[in-house]
Amino acid sequence: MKSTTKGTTRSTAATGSPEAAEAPSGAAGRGGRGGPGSLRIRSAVLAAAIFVVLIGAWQGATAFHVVSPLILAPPADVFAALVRMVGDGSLWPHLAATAQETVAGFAIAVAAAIVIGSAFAFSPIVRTAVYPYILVSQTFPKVAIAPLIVAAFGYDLMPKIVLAALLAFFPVLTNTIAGLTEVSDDEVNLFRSLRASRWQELCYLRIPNALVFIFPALNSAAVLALIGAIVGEFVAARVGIGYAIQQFTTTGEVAGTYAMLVVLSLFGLALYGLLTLAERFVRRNR
Amino acid sequence: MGAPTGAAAVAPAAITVNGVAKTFHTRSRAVHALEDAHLEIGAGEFVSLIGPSGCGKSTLLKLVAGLLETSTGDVRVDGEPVSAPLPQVAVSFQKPTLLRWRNVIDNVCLPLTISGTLDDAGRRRATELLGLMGLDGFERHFPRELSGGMEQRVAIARSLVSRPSLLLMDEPFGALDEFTREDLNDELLTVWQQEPKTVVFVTHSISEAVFLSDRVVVMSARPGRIHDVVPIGLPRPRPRALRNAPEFYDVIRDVRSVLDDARGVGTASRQEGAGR
Repeated sequence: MKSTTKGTTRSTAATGSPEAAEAPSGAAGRGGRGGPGSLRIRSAVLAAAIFVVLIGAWQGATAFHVVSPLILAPPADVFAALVRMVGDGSLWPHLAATAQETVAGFAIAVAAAIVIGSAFAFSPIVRTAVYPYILVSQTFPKVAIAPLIVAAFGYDLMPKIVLAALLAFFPVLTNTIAGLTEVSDDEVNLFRSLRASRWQELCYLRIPNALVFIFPALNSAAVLALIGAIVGEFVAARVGIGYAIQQFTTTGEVAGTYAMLVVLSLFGLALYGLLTLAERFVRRNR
Repeated sequence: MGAPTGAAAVAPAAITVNGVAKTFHTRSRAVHALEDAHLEIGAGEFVSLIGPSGCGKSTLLKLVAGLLETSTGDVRVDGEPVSAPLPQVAVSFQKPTLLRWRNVIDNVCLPLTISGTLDDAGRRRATELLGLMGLDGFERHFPRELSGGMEQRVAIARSLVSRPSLLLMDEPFGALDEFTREDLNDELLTVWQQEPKTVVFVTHSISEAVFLSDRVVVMSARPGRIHDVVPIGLPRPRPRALRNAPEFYDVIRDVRSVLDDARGVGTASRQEGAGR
């Protein structure tokens, strides 16, 4: 165990973030000695060690009052808060609301982005005319209009869905356009020489090509939709993880706040996993 | 033995290029890619186009393919004026241009899929062509698992699968190392002898042009012109060993001198242009 801990300290300094625990493949890529099996085991050990070190550092920071208990709750308290909320069922309405907002916003954004992106891809005139506006709106921080959206759509799920969709829309749009238009001259010439119709060119060339671009965008879109939902709940809500975070923070229940953060990261991971499965399925069947 | 999978052999196509010019217009100027080209290619002939960059050899090939429109003059395949790609013509490119999400056999079958004629016989033919190109057992592999030479073999099988009467090849082996290129040259000649068809082959390599062709069309640059046509009298079939034969080197020397002549003309006209 001693040797792993030594290795860990170095890696923690290098990566310095909890993501390392979620992505052991990053550590695996640097290895290279021994068989692939031993590499996988070693990176799993390393990932577990990083987790232990981080939790230990967290525990130490609270036990020795390095950080005020009003800012950072001890890990054990956070775990207890989480167990309590699962036990008495008070977590589920919050999680259900945030999940609905995120998934609905994401779905609307993806559908709209693919339809509009295709229209752009096939009409150079529309693309040239509208694209500058899209670039401008991409640089604009859309969370800034969250209060306006709440004012426009009320206090229920709707404004959060709108905000989630608005944030998730742009990466999917730009990557759809890129995927549908970035085919090589040779590929286009091949299809022309085969006398393919535009529809065939779309089905056999442009759409499969676009999938390579769209799937990475879906991952960032899912994260952005979750951000949109949480920000919307911060502005005005009666339920939701964002609402719960605000409640816990204002009443000084710091452990509750951290429990919600844990729930959020688990939910984000679940979305990521689902998208990875979807990508694998589509790639196998295209 | 003969050609793979029964079916009627298709008669090779004849090509007529009559007073063809192609000018590309950029924002500021006109580029004369090809000027006043005349060329007759007989049915079943193997003709190479060779010349320095910018001599219009790829342009001429794309005009025959119907991928570009002539500015003046006309191109005819079997007497039919070419204004769009014709069904009996297959084109292959410098890059293999395989669809990376389709496996090898599905890539070879793509022309049949597009024309809506893919059936079991077509799949068998695709498999046989892959065997002919030395790719037995690679049917289910994906392009990323293949070497450059193997990818180009797949591309050639794809261009043959629909039994074209005319095969247009735009520097198909330009990106390959010399040994792989020679192997592919041999395989191409084998297929061409089994299934006679007209081939127009663009290349930078004099030895490749001489080894493959009945005639070599030497072109000059700026503006792109047909400088001369050199008949290659070497007997067929042409075995690997021909590459070591003195008569092979004699022909290469002839073509090289014509090419030097063509490039000399190209240099003179460039200087003239710079003085303007």
